[in-house]
Amino acid sequence: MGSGQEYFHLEVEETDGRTTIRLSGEFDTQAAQSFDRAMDSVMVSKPAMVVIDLAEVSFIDSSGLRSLIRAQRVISVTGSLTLQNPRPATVRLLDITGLADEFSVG
Amino acid sequence: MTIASVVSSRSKEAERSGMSSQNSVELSIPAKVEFIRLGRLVGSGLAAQAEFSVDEIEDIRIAVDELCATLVEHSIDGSTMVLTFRIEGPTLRCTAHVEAARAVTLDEISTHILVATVDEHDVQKDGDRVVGYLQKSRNTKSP
Repeated sequence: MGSGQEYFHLEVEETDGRTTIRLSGEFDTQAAQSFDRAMDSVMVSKPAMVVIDLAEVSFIDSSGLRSLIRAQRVISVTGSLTLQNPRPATVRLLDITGLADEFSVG
Repeated sequence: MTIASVVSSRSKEAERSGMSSQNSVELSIPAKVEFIRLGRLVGSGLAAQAEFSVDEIEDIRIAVDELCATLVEHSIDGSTMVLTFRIEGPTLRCTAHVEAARAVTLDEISTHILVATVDEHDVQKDGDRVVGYLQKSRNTKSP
């Protein structure tokens, strides 16, 4: 486990002042650690507009949600964060945890 | 070297409780984040076998993940997490334990998720272990 099959993938693309982070796979406790590290790298350049594309996230748990909250709080200092294309299961988890209003969802 | 094991015939937990073990599965895995996936796979797989609906299976997948993540967070390095799943009629029960050094707390997010996804949940310190419990019954009413 861990060094074998990849269950979570993250891509960062910067175009026209917009940073898009595309996530795919299972956004769980293990993935959240990778995501937090990637966000730390992204934030070095203090991006003004960040989009996190969740279209290919097949599973998310409280660790994934906490990482998104962390990202939201860091990014809000210098710019804005939008969650894009969340699947119904992700929307449901945001709703039942009361976190839906914390994010701009596009 | 055995890293993880699954016992589906006669689980120790079932033996202790004196209950039938025909529908029990015991999973022993290292208490590490990279093994939590196995817990939710077994939980959701058993729920599917017990004819839970797609939404109910997803609820169990999420709840088992939350339980495992909480136990792993509180576990002692190098310890083993033991999960026992049992199907009794329309009900799936999951108990889990791990060796832990400190009291366990569920934060607001995890609590909201467990309340919304399962019928009953409990996590508490018991001696030198943290013990967790989940229970969910499938909807047996016709749509």
